[in-house]
Amino acid sequence: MNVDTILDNMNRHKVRYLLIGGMNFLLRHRPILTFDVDLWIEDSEPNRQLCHSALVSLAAEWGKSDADWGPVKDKSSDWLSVQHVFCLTSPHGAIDIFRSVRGLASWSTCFAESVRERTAGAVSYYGICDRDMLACQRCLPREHQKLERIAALEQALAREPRDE
Amino acid sequence: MNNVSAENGPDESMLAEERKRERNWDPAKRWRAIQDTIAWADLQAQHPRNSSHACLQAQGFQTQ
Repeated sequence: MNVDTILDNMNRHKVRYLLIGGMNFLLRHRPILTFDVDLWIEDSEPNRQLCHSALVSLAAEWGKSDADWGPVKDKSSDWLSVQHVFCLTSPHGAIDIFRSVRGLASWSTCFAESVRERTAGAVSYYGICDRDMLACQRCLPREHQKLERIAALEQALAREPRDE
Repeated sequence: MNNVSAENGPDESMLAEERKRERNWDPAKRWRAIQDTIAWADLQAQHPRNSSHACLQAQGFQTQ
């Protein structure tokens, strides 16, 4: 399975990542139309190197420009430090790599609150929690907010037991 | 560092990256990857998309 392959490669290369975006919502709540795997990586040099290795093993492709587009195995190993977001292709599907995410606290804070789950194919992953998913949506301009997603997250949070 | 959105927000760098990927992705490979992703997503659901349970659930949400 393609998304399982992407997550499994990230796990095997010990990349510190969090699943965010539509795929995280799809796995934890309800089916939605989404085609890319959004991964927020811990933004450190060693972790970017691990991520680079995982993307090489996935035969991912990216380019700083159209002219530069090609397999990431041919890129200099620091290519993940040149910008903040990367939209890649791979035979297993589209992959978006984020070094930071609007509306959220630090990666380590969100990781501490994250949820460890498994896909139906038994591949484990860490995804940002419902509260952080909701924070991502709420920081968007109103016309870009996904209302169905916000409603589902608010319902899920309302069902959560409260800390006394 | 400028923060960017994972939720397809209006951030220009995100939109430019997505457009660049579209231009550089072979249409046949892209189509195959999308079909595979749809099949994978369907496997994640407890009830398949075309089951009566899933249809009634979707209908219920639409009429809420």
